[in-house]
Amino acid sequence: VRIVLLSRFPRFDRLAWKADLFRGMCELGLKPQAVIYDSCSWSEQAAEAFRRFGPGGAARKLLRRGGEVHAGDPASPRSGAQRSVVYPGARHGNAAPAHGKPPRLERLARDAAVPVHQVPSHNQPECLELLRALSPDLILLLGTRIIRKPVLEIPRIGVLNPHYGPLPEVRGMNATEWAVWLGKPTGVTIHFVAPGIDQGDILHFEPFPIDPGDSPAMLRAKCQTVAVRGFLKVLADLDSGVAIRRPQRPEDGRQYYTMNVALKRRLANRLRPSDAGTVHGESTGS
Amino acid sequence: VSRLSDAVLDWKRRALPFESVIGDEGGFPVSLEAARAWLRARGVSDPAPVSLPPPAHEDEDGILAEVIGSGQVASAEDLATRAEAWIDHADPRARRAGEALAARLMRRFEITKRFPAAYGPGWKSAGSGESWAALAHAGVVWLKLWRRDDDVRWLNAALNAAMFLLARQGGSGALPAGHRLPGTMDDTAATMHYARLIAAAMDGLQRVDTGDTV
Repeated sequence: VRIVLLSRFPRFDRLAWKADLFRGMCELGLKPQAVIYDSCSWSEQAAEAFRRFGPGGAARKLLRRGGEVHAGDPASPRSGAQRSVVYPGARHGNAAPAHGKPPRLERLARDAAVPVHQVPSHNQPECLELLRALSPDLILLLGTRIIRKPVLEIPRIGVLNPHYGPLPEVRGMNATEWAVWLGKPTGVTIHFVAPGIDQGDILHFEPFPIDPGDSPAMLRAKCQTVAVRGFLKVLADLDSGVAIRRPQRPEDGRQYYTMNVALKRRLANRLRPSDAGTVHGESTGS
Repeated sequence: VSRLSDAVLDWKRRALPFESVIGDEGGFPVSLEAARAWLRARGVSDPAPVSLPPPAHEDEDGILAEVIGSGQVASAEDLATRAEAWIDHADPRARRAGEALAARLMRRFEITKRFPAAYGPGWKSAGSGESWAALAHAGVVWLKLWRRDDDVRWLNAALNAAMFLLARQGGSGALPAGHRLPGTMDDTAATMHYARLIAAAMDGLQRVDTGDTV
């Protein structure tokens, strides 16, 4: 199976789950055919923040480095505490050291003699030509912008995406947070990408429990671990011809958008263990 | 930062006569009582929606074509006004049309974080201008739908709209009515929408906190 990875560079390239996935694929004998990056720089992010939040809001976002990531939160993705959550649970948990930064996916790919390409955008003709030349069986999306139909039509089998929530119930953004808010199962769905938001056939769903003390950031970290496991299972199933596609009906769910920070804060409060040691993950607002 | 923000936006800002400060963590501890007092003083705390006949269409594209009519574009404020009028209409067709319209406006804002001042055929934005006062009006409609349907997406969109606007405040607490386009409504109407949205959004958060969502 010829597999191409689509990702972003330089931001979001040094993530443990991407390194875990790459190494896991190599162990399965499914070394990627190529990695294609589109550009995601600090300046582009700053421009996007300016457009979305205005000059004052963008400055505050950038100064605070992300907004919803709370300083001092032991579960912050930038703290060491989260790494201890991510790595031990990973299928290939030894992919990254317990301390220090995880390796760049780009570095891992080059070390494994996997060609690395950079394009301005995955939807532009330059990338389409490249993909057509590579003629992959599968494309894996590792955190990209919205991929347009011309890209979806290129691979022989399809384009796979990890969705951090249950499908078809919770489509769209912040699916983990919305699943908790709505009292639905938390987990990761591996699905084919089709036109429409998170509407392709489902291949795999793995739920995971909310443990006492979990924060939204820790749930997201769990999602990354589960996504790697799910991707590897699906790839192995597709490779051996035993994967089962389950179509989904959009009317069975709803599309959600970026959760407002005020609701996120309330969600975090609900997740805090009560005196009785239970987790407040139930819905009260929907 | 706030001086730069003021300089950039001052030419378009409309004074909002109550204290409003961006919170430390992206919240908006604007005084709810101040917003309510502003509305009470002007007798617009819960203005009756405009009375409109039901539309001939229930789908978003048909409604837009109907609103555009013989003109070239439909203003965002017109669409928000119609949505507000229809969601509480006695005719169920009008209610469905109002919800479809509100959902379309919500989707547009949530995905693009823009709120065009006018739309042409096919929901293409007419020009590059945005109407933030119309966004505030749409936010009021979303909050009404949240209270009616208990669908948290409406509340979320309204909160995002309120924060979007508050992120554009200056140190004086003034909010801009629009961007790159002269205001399409008078100051009082624009300010009324802001105050209604902020009061209703904060009330919504209080309801979430107390579990009294509907």
